[in-house]
Amino acid sequence: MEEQVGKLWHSFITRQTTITYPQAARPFASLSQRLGIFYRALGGDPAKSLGCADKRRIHTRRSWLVRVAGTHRRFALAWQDEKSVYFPEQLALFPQPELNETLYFWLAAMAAQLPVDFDWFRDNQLATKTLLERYPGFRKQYQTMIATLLSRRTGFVCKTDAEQQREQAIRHALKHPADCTELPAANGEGYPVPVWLYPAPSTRLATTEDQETSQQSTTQQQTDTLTIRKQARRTDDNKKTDGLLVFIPDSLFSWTEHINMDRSEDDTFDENAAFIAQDLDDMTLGNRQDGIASRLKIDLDLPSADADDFPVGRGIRLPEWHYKRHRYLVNYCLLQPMLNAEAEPTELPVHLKPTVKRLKSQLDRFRLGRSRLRRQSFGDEINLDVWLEHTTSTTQQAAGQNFFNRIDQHHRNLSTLILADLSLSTEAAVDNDTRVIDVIRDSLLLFGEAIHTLGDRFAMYGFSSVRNKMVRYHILKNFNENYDDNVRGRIQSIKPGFYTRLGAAIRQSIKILAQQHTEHKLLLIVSDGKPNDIDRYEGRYGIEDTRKAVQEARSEGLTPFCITVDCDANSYLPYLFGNRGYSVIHNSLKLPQVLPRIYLGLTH
Amino acid sequence: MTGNCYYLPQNNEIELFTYAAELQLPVLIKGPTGCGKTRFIEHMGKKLNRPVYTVACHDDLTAADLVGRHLINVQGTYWQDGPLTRAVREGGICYLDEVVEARKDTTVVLHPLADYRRVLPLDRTGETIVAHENFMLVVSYNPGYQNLLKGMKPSTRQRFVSLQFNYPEKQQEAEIIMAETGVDRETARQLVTLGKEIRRLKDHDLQEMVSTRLLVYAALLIEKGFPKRDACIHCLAESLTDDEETFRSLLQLIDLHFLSGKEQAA
Repeated sequence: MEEQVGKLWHSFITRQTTITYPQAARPFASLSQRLGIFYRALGGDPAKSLGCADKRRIHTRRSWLVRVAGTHRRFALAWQDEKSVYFPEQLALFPQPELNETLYFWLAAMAAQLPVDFDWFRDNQLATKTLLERYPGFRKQYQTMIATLLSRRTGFVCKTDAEQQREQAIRHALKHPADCTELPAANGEGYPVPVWLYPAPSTRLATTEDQETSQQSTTQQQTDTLTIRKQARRTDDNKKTDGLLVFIPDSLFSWTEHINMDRSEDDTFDENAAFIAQDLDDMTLGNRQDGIASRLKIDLDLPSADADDFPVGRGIRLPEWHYKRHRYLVNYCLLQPMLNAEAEPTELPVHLKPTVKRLKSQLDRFRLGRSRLRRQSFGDEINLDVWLEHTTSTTQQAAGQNFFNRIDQHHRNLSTLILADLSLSTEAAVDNDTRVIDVIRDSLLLFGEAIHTLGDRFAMYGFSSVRNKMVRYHILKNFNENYDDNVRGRIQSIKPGFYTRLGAAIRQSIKILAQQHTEHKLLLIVSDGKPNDIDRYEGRYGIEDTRKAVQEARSEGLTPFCITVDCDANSYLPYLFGNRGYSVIHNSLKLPQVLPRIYLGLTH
Repeated sequence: MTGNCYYLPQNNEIELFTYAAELQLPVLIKGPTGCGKTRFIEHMGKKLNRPVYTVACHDDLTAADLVGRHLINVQGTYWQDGPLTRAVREGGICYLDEVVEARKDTTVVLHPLADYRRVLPLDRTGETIVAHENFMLVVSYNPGYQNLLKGMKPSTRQRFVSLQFNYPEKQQEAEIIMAETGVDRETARQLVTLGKEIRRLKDHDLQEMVSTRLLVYAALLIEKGFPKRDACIHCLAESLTDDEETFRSLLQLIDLHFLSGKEQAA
């Protein structure tokens, strides 16, 4: 009962202070793909992704009623950083749904206009001015949006003259963006402007030991579980206290300021953390590196030397691309070729045999070799024997006038290297009895059979990684090996583990393919997600390194092609492989059947 | 090769081509679809007063299709020249469009024609034809289209003077659209801006870029009185994508530039 009353009161009082139109609301999720295309068309950075922004705290002057209602503290506003553009999760500011939708497109256009670091007041006006000048389609809609927003701003309280002036300046800027005025200083922050972009919300305390590596890995663990961007606050916890003294004592017993997320000490798993995190205004993360939780995980994951595959050689050093420094980190990665020497030779699994049989009969017509087709109705040369036979025959039927020979040549001067992602993420289930790794295994087996039937040269490798010093490169079949039961056994013994340092694996594959003396070289990558590793190799760093590796492959004359079962891949693969350089398999169970078909499409 | 042969030079291509023709050098033209490759050749054919023999290459095109073959009639077999042989004998520009699409054996025929020898050996008839002094070999291809097995062999590439074509700059493209269709400057400018924006989506969201040819089509419709927005939808958005979401984004983009007739009236 109490809860009921509370809910009623909350909805009543909120309605008194905020004006939204839930029936006209447009969620971001339904528009994200179109927004992405639109954003890129207007000149936005194609490497950026689009995401949801969390509500952020804006310090405004609140009226009595607003205080009672407890609203107007946090607002969902659009902003961007160098990785993404963030939009409010849903927009319901206007009574017309199409106007709410327009606001999303407007914000995308603004994001395409503005740099990551900008002067909030001046640059927003400039961008508005440019957009309105350039696109007549925006003009009327902007006026309608502004009229509604301005009428709503009249209700806002301004106590001092300075605040009043600031509010006036903002209103003027909205109405006449071309004037490009300056923002008068005043206490607090002005009331939010939903049609403008905001700077990144995180305020960071710069510390000496603040290294990118640790930041990236810690934030990664959080954002993985959350769908929206949280406002993060960095705190200086380098003083080796136990973390509990870092924050303001008056909120000691409140969740809103602190939960046990001091990564350096966290070895308990709080099941509710994700849920609580959704409710937090902002998160406080420590800067100290080497979280015990993550270190433990690695140690446990690495198999003992006995149980592990046999390492071949002492490892190969490879460079990695650092996109911020704009140069290669020379010899940064250590790639270790591994061979599973103990894998028993195994036959093809029974459940694949019917598919292989069907596949082989389909592929028969693609077989290599040069053949001369005689008695054709047209062709490259005349078969005089047939001509003579025909002219001398007494009947001279029209059906016998096939006087030509045609030479059909199937000369495939091609080497293919298949690189399969064996990271731990492939352990994810596809359905009740199948994991991604099972699908990849079946695909490799079927693909091997298919390519073997065609007679093309091919090699198969798998890879996974634990940071830069341990990129595991599993040899399944090299170019000179026959495709036989030994290889089948090795393919069937693949196991998922660790992470995806794709760049290093690609670079090694380039080296191997460079030794093949064929005219065409194809590098086929079978993957299930973005490149990532537990160090800084995630997000943009991993993407940029992989992109660089793909470019290197192209400049070596290779054709890289990626086949993925990650349904979100459309957001990053075009940037890595180009529009024609990849294929997304939406139903991963289909991968084994589709893979040979893609190969034929690419090469025939 | 009749009628309109307007061509606005983008760079030094006319000069280069004229020199190449004079010096009897073969020319290779690279460029995306609809950027004016074929128009350029036609223009140069007129300018240099040479006939142009255009062969659109496809994957069943053999050397015999270029060189010629023996045919049979009531008298017996006889030799029929192909377009290449005719150009070699009589002089003229032989233009092989999308040459990488043709079968591998065609390049063997091209090699002796594309270097200092300038001869075409016909092994079927035992004849070796020395090229007419006005014969010129021009091939073109679109680097964006390449199938893995259909690249151009380096040994073939090395025999040509190469020219890279691209879509013209904003100003020039607007000039071209105006000259080809007669639309006003403002419409041409809007079309070109829209085109540039759509071209940014290349590789990421769209396979193909919007070509100058498509912009000209849209301008032709507009000039005839077809509503601008609809012309863009049918010539640009529909022609470039089948994907529903991409199409809607393109629509949104078109709406930024061209209001629908109803809105314009209001």
